[in-house]
Amino acid sequence: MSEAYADDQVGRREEDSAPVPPVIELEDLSYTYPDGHRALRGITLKIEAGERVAILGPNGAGKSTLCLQLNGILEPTGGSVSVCGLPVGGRDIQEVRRRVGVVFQDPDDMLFMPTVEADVAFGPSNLGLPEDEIRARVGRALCAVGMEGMGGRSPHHLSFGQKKRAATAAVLSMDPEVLVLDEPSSSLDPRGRREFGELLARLEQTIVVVTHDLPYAHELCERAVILDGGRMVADGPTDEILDDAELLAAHDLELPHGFVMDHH
Amino acid sequence: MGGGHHGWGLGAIEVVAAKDSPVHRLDPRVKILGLIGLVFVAVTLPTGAWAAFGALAAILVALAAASRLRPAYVLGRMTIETPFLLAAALLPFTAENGLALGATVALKVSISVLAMVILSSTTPFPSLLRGFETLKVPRLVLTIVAFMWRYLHVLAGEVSRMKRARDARGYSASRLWQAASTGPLIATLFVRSLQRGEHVYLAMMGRLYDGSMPETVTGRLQTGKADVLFLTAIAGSLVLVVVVLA
Repeated sequence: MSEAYADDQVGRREEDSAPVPPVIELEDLSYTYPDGHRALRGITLKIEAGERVAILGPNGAGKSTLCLQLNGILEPTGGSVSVCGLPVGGRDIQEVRRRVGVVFQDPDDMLFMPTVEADVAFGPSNLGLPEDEIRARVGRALCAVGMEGMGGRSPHHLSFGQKKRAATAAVLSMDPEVLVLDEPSSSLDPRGRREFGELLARLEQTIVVVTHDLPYAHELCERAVILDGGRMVADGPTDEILDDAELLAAHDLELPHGFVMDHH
Repeated sequence: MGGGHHGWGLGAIEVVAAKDSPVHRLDPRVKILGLIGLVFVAVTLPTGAWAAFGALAAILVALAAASRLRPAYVLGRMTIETPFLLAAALLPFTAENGLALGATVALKVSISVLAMVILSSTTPFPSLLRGFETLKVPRLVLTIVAFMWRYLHVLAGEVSRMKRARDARGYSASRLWQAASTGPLIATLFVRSLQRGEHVYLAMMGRLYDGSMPETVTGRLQTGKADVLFLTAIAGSLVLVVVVLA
């Protein structure tokens, strides 16, 4: 009883004094692959809780590498990454991975279990949660992506859009604070793309969308960052960035022909 | 990626296993125990125990009928045993008392294969894995099987797309000199599989994989009256077969 009270006090004191650390903080982050390819060069970026940020850039700009840095699958060769104040690469790595859910481009990479529900349960099971809690989370995550009642299916019986949603549920079940999506719209048909966008818009988490689909970025994110050649070359409101035709052209990005922006 | 329209017989067995019948509805665990028990009895029976073999075969035929499996489908599945039957067919010419020996081997193989065809055609693969898991089969073995099954589907899709792309550029298998393109196809597939494996591993790490697979908690299994009845019946008949007929 007294212990619980003390915990509560500590919690409150932290809330009062220290400002909430950014959800994601990159400090002069660099990454060089073992073969010498310099994928990221000195990126400094802060993402606050609840923000929706698009990371734009042509192929080979380092976008996917950045994704893998955000939950410590790759470790920086220079600078640092921290998530909610926890340094990535330290002993809190499991906690970091729980907080940052990365949804890969190809859902077949993510759905490795025999059924959708077993897959969605994989993360929570690794967290060592009790069975009832795992089942409750699987139910909630499937519901959040609109796949209630499809948990018993095998991934190869799903459409591509359903696989994408199942892969998202598999990450949501870990109750992450940030959702990082690598090319969420790729290979989706127009309807799948729209439905997936609507699903993302409903989520409460901080969202980082890595893409070269500019209209999608505009739809989902109020802030955009341009990455080119491993460097961050722009950071600002998505409206302004997409309005700057010269900036886009300089970094091999293009709005589709005839696209007219409705400003946020 | 895309849909599962590819061959390798993976699709056919899934369609049949997803149907409904009293046997389909049984708990996978009692089917595993009952049918593997039956196979165990079959392979340990002595040469020439014709009555016992007949009884086992009758049990399986009855089960196949109760599962509403089409005879043509069952026979098609059983062609996998052809090499064993051919080997058994050599016995009459090579061994002493070869005819009885050959017939016994053929019967043992056929009974075992039929039992496994019934098991795999009445139980969806994930339930089968779940059944083996709760029967304490080492999880490492099951994980390997589960990944193989999962990515066989993905790979089959990749192979059929690659073949289609090759055929679209004028390949025809009838010209021997063109067969040389099969090598690169296999090499490409191998490289893609390696990359796939790496990506899957990264995805697993991202979801807190620590080197051991967690126990599956979804897809709970339930044993009911029918299951107890099935297991009792099959255990009783096996005892009868061993004690009375063998």
